[in-house]
Amino acid sequence: MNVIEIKNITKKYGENVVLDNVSFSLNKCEIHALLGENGAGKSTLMNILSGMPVIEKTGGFLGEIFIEGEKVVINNPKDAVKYGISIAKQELSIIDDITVLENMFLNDEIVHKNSKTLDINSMRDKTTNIIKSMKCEFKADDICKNLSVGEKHFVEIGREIKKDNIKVIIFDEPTASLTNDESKIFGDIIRDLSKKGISIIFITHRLDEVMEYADRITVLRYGKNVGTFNKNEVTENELAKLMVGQEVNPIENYKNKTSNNIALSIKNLSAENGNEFIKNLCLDVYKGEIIGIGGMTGQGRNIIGDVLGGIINSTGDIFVNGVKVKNGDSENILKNGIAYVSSDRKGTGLYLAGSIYENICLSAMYINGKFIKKIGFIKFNDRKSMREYSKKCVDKFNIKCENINQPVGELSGGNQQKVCIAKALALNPKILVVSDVTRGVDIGAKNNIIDSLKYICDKEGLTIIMISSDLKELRSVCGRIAIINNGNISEIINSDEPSERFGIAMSYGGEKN
Amino acid sequence: MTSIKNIFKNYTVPCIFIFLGVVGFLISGLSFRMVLNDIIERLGRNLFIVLSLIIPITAGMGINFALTIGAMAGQLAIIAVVIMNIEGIFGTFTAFLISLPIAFIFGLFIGILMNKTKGREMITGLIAGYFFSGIYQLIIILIPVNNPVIGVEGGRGIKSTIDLGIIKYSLDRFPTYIRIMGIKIPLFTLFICGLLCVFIWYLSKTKLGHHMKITGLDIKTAEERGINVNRVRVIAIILSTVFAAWGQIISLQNIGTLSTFGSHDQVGIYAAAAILVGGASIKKAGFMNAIVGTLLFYLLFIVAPKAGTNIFNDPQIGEFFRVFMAYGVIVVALYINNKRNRDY
Amino acid sequence: MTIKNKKNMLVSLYVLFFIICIFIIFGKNTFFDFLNRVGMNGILVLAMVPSVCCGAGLNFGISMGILCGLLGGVISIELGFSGVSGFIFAVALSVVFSTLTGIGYGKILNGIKGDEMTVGTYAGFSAVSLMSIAWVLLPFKSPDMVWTIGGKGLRTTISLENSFGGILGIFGSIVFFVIMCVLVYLFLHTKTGIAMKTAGIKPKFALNCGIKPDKYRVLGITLSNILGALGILVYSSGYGFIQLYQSPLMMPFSAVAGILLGGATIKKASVFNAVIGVCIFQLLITLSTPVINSILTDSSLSDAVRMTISYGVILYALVRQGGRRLK
Repeated sequence: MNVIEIKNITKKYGENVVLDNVSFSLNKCEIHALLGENGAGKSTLMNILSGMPVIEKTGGFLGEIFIEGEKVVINNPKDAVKYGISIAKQELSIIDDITVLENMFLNDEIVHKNSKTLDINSMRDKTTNIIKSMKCEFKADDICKNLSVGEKHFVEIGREIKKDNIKVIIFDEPTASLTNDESKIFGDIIRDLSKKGISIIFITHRLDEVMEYADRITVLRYGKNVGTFNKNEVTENELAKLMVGQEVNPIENYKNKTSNNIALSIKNLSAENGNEFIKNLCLDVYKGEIIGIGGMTGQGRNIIGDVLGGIINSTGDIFVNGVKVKNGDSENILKNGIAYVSSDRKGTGLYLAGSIYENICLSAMYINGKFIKKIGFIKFNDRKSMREYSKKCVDKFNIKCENINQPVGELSGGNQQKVCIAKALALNPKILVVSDVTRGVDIGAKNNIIDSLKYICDKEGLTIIMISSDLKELRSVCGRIAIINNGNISEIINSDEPSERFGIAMSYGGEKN
Repeated sequence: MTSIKNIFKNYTVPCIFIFLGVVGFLISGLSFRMVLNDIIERLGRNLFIVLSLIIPITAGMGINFALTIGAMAGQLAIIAVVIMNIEGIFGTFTAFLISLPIAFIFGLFIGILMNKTKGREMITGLIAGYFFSGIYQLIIILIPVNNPVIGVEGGRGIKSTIDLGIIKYSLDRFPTYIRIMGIKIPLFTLFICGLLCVFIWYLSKTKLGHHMKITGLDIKTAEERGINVNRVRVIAIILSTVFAAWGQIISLQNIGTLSTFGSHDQVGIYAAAAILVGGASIKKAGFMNAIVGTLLFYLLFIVAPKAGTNIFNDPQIGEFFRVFMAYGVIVVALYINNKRNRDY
Repeated sequence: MTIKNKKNMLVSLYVLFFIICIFIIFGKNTFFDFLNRVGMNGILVLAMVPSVCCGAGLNFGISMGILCGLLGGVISIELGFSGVSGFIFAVALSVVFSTLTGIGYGKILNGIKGDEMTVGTYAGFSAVSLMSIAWVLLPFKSPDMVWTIGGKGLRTTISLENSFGGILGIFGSIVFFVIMCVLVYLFLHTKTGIAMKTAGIKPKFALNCGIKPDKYRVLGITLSNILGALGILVYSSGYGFIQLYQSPLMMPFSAVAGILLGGATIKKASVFNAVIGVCIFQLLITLSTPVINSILTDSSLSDAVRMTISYGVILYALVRQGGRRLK
């Protein structure tokens, strides 16, 4: 008998069909991977299973859910818990300022019968047992602020597995923030759990993980179930094809012309932001090249963009064509020719309530004085020229929108990203820094964006620094790639060198200087 | 040397006030014994209401400026006791009893209001306090009253000052005053404050109190994990309002006179200033903050007018100065607190 | 026409309709009274616009700007200026003072982002108390202003008969108000103004565009402060008296209520909100004053009623606005 059987689920958000007649089943003691690109419907399906309020609020769904053969109704998280379904989402639900045991027993505390006070000792014992069963190293009384991101994920997992009547645990992109070692621990945990009789669904788009852990795999594409397979029935390439639905391009190696002039020179750059840091980083970037910056998440790669964009402060020297810029001063940096497209699209890169033309033109207006009408000696903004320029950008970058007055918040991720790039290019920069430029973007837009970047670099000799967690993408676009490890560059590798060099650079190195 | 520097850094505001208090004391020329006596009396008078600020701070709602509304509940109860002419300690306890349901309803209302304005509880409390105060004043003026003790001649309105002789000092001198080295100590009052401290401590060890702390630390995650943050916050405010009502009753039984229009006015601000002076922040407060703060704040309060007279020959300046300090310390405390939590 | 413009036109028509009603029902005198109040209070409400636009929220600390204006006024009287020159001198002086204090206050507000309203209220109260000490201590000598007994320290209420009282008249103050509105509106469409608005709406985005949010917050608060100083001078001139000591204490609340009535929120305010707001607020008062005076024999209580209405409005706006997104 199946632990969970889903029949003919259809879900619409307004007019948009997100799940189209999806059926799916989960066996007991099985590790089942749910694969799909962005927007395929994976998260929505799991939200339905776990009773998330957003489903009810947007009109419910059609279809039936059966748990161990019985038809059930799941309308809120409590129902899901009642039926033994538990979900661990990608965003941490941990409070930093309290201890591990307090987090594990959050809203589930054990209380002394008579005095109604908290029974810390019992909670501590149970927590220690769970930590042991997960083979982790932190302690029950550690304050979560001091744990690594991966360890915090384990606290969350611990919270789910301590529940008594657990039948199914759903993991949404579980290894996104884990290091290699931590991912191994995660793999061990889910194998352990499945042996104990708990079924696991994990959502991912990482094919290597799927092949390693899953017993069965279901692929979703554009809201439809395009196939369920046993692990040994299918190859990675076949899965990739099913996910994407189109021919996956082999990795082309792209060689662009670079000169010998140094466009950007970084000397002894140090900065920190939260847990990440970079220390005494040195790098020379040549005019006209596309250089990649990669490395494991959390090793410092993510800060470099913010530092180069002047969003966070830093010490050390940054020279653009020989001119030193002011660290942490975004205005000065922009005026010196560095334009930065942040990985935080919605928070930093865009003003969501504003129109497309405002988002594209504001920065250029402020820094370069474009789109200005002078009356006397007062500078008024020139809406008309802003609109004209934006219309050209929409055509050039193929931005799908109703018109340029549309609020940017209504566009899809890929189109929002194109607006960000247009905004940066409106400044006519000498150096373009893009960070995670294709994250959360659908494949069509992804190719668009990459092609545009290559085109501009070719035609206008723009120097591009591309920061990304996607090594494959970097190798297909960049000439050289700098791998960041432990806060410094461990190696600068040409993109056509063998993969092992990259792997090694990401695990070791970076401790010089 | 570094440890002194550290103390100053971590407890900037209390240190400043120790300094000001001592300087002010020296300038004022008042006798040490008198000042000590005064401070102990003020401690008894005001500590309870300062303590009532602790719970909402822990629950993440900042300083409960709507304290004034609780004080109004206490005042209404006292008026009732005066009408019913109940004397002594029975009078005071009757007032506690009567104010309980009134403060409960007020607290419920304010709690719901603050839940609708999460993140802006302080300004909401401030404005709500003023708003209620306005309505309260209108009622005081317009209500038809027949009782000659509290009513204005003419049948409409309540007198602007009501003598509370019947319950004056009733709590303080129960069963008798204790004198240590010639200084009057209101033992029972301080005992009741101690009871409140015990209650707050016990609350922190229960599930509800734990949830309040969690809500205060990270309301988003607390809600995600299923904690009913709205309920927790409302309970915190109800408790605070009830304690404010009782605190105002305690305060009034010490002063002995009720100024119908004005007694509740400055209560919130002075209590807030006191706890902030004691080193609390708008995210974290404990008993020590309340006790130390009340002592230091009222020390300045006592010495400022006389010091002002000695320097400037004008007692009014001393009074302006101490009001200036009360408001100023809230600004400074918010500034220091915000600087430390720089994640906005 | 966009939806926003259509809504604005509708509101303006309603307000205009009511104003015309007053004219017809209550007669010329009440109408002129209404216009007078609008002229007197307009700039103080307008002062809220720059501070909301730059992201510092409703400027509860406008009492500081008001104090600067009062200081300018009394110095002008002390130095013997009268009439138009007295007013102009007072304005010039207060602009200097309010710019300086505005910059200082703005920098303080940069340090307490998120609590601007609470800090503003208490900073304002603090400043009023501090200035009360100053009014007593500063060496003013003009017989129009100091206490007759003792000869030292300024009086609580100072008549402007001999200086710039009534200098603008009803028509003049309305014109002055309109000019200030136009200036603020134009400013908000200049390069600097747009940078300020961007910094206010989304500081992170502004930073990415090269705009330093802190710098523009200081600018917004300073402008707000200057308008506050101008506002109190116009108000005092129309009223005929300068009021010192505790009177500026509660003025910020009326100004805040005014702009909220005009449709502004804590995050968004426009010149239009200011104009409509002051009209509605003064309409409320003009219409309710005779009613209140007939119920309450004590006319000073009508002031208390007005304040209570103000608080009620602000409370409503706070609740409507809802919570702030925490973290």
